[in-house]
Amino acid sequence: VTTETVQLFFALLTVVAGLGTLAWIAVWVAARRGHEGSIEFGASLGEAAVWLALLVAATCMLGSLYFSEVADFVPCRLCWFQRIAMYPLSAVLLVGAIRHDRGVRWYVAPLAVVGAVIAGYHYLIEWRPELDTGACGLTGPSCTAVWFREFGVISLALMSLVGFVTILTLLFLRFPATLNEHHEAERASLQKEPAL
Amino acid sequence: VNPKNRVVAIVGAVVLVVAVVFGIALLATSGGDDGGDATGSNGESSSTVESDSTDAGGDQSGETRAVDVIGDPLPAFEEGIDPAVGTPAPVLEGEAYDGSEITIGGPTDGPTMVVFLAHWCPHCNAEIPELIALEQSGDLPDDLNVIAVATAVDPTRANYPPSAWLDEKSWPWPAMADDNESTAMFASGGTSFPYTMMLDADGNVLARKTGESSAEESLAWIQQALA
Repeated sequence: VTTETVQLFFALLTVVAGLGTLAWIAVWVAARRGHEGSIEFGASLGEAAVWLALLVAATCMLGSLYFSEVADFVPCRLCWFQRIAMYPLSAVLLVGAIRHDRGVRWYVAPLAVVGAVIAGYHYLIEWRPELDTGACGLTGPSCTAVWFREFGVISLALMSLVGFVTILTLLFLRFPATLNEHHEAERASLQKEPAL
Repeated sequence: VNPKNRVVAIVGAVVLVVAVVFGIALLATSGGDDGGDATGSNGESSSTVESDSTDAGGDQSGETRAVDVIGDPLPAFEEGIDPAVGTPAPVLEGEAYDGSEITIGGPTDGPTMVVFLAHWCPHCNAEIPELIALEQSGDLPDDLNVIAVATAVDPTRANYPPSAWLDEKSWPWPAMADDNESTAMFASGGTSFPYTMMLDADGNVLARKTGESSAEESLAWIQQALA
């Protein structure tokens, strides 16, 4: 397996994760509007959310390790900050998934949000190097130096960004467990409204 | 359906998708060579300024060439008060890519601006057109000499080889090839790219700076250094 193959593999996974996240959001919006099929489908997905988030985090971590340890793409400063945010998520999400603890999202959120912000900034300065310090380091790679851009746009920073956003979406867009629960929630919200 | 089975089915389906994606990536790249990508970088070693075939500081490709340093190296550049200002820069004797000899430092016919550039550095790539625009504006002092030093050469990184890179960028001034250990860069106290050093006609340091600048910023820096 060549580095080129792995680059393409992770770029395609980024596309899949990005499209999956958009689909997840679309199903969630439909469920919120009372679409029965989306509620049932979303309920099924919701049960697997923590496991799927774990899968994303673990894949990101393994990809990151491959690119630094096997492909010898030396991580830049911002890459390290993103790694600090991403690597613990695998362990935290594994515990959360085993314990069926949807509350794990609150432990994941601070790391994932910080990681997403850094990844977003990293991706931005890859395209707008003048926003950075303006110099490439002699002893280490510049954060604006891009190792590769698959399909012209997918760099390591974008992969990281999509990873963090996907994890947050999986954990925070919660579906009602069942159609009945949805109806009950609707009734409860109606009752809360003040009488005319 | 048992919720546990449903979770297993969903996670299993996603793992299957991942496997299919890996198969697609494998098929798409099998049989091809390591042709690199749009940025010109590729998946090989990231090591910098090293070359397998060394010959007195240069390599067989001619993209790095031997550099002799005469005199004491300058201290590494740091922002703030620069202790190198007023001290003589070491004289660098090397070659251009056409093999002609180039000397940087020592007594010359006017001030000299030395610009250290790395072919793979995006900031250096952005700096070059700004300097060319400045030259075309006619605002540069007539007696100012400008010389590039192509340094930190890495065959595995973007825009290699630097000789073709400078041609493509239409670099209008002479360019010296640094050796495969970036000796000229280190002797001049460079720590990052682009790195610019202004010398007076006697070869003493007037100013140093690092980082990308616009044409206007560079002109202001030059005027201040020569004032």
